[in-house]
Amino acid sequence: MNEGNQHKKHLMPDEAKRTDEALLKLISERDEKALELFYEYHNRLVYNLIRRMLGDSQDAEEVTQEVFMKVWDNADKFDGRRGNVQGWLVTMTRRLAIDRTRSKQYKIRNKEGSLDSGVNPDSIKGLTGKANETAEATEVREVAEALKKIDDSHSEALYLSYYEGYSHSEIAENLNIPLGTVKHRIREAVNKLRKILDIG
Amino acid sequence: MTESMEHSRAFELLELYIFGNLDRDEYDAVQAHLDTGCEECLKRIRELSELSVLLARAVPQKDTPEHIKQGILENTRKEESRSSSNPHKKTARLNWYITGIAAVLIIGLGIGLVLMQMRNSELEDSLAEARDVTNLLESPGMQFVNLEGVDPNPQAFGKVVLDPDKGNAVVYMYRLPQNPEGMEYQLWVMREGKPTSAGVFSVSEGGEAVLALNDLPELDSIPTFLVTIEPEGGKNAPTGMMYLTGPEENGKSKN
Repeated sequence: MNEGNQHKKHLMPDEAKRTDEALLKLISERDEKALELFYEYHNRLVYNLIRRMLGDSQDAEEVTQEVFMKVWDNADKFDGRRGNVQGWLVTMTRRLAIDRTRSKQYKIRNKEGSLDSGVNPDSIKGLTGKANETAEATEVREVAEALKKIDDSHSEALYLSYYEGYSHSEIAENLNIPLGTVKHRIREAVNKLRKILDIG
Repeated sequence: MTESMEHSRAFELLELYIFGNLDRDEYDAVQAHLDTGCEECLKRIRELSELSVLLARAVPQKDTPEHIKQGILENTRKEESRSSSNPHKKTARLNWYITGIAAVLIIGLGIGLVLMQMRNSELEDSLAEARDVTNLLESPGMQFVNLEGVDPNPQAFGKVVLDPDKGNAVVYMYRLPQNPEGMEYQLWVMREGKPTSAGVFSVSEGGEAVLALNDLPELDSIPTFLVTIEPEGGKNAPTGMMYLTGPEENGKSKN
């Protein structure tokens, strides 16, 4: 090979998006190799989000498997009108992780899913702080900065719900605030993040 | 079948559908409303999904244990063997237009990357001639290689899909820092300790890049891949800071 561009082609984000959609199409045709590729591209996103929600545990590993089995069985249900494949995958991942937190076995193992030590504001900053120390990727940095800009009480509700998988009523109970306030704070946090990150 | 809820109620729940923790009934009712094709809700869901992916990507990254993949593949095989007598699982081959693009992008086979640049109608014609593209995906020698981020950028990672027999590869890289003005990343293929440049590249705003490599020299084992930062245009040998490397042990496939 020679130095330079002789052998390279750049694939733009749109092409990566088409790749994801095309892989789903193959998966819906029961193509195992396509599932393997899909897993190669997305396993970190899925596994690390689940780890964040369930901790380093057998549950996290089992739910990761569940997510990709769900992709295997439901690839034909992907609806591009609702967003891209990653968005679909993340929504599905969160849903399955949340379902796990509500399972009887999980509650037994994790003492009824209460917030062990109440809400520690440092844990909310922990996500972004850690990302800032190590991550240079623009989007990660932007998300970290955006999270810092929103009201603590709002980011706290979003954090506990999105990353920790607590139910709205669990958050309300542990923060000692009305259920409606929890929902309001999550909505507010989301809408502020959208504005800061200029989405929509 | 789950009953759809009225628009105003569904719209109000969209943030909680994506970021919150709706109970199963509400979640399914929002899903059912979205299934009706409500444009306003679909538009909002697309925006919220975009934000959700950003939040998910912001989570500190750790490698997925290898056995998870094996478990998934074993499960799919078990499912398939159970349903092999069930003819409706084996659906007819549909329109392979998009599918063809995927095979092309992923495997990096020579024909694919040329096809990428064609117009849609040409693509469809060419793909029709390309027979069943699943054969490409099932290339028996295909290997996967993980690329790991190197301090001080351990968050970077990548994947190489490599067909050593045909000398083709596609390299996917994620979470690389923006390359500074006047600098570019350079991908190297190391064989017997000797680096060969596989091209220079910049990353997208999200720190991603994908390179397709053709005509790699004959490979009897998996080479080591390196990514370094170099002056624009690249160098003859690595001189700058290393950002990615893999596989962990030379010659070891992570397939």
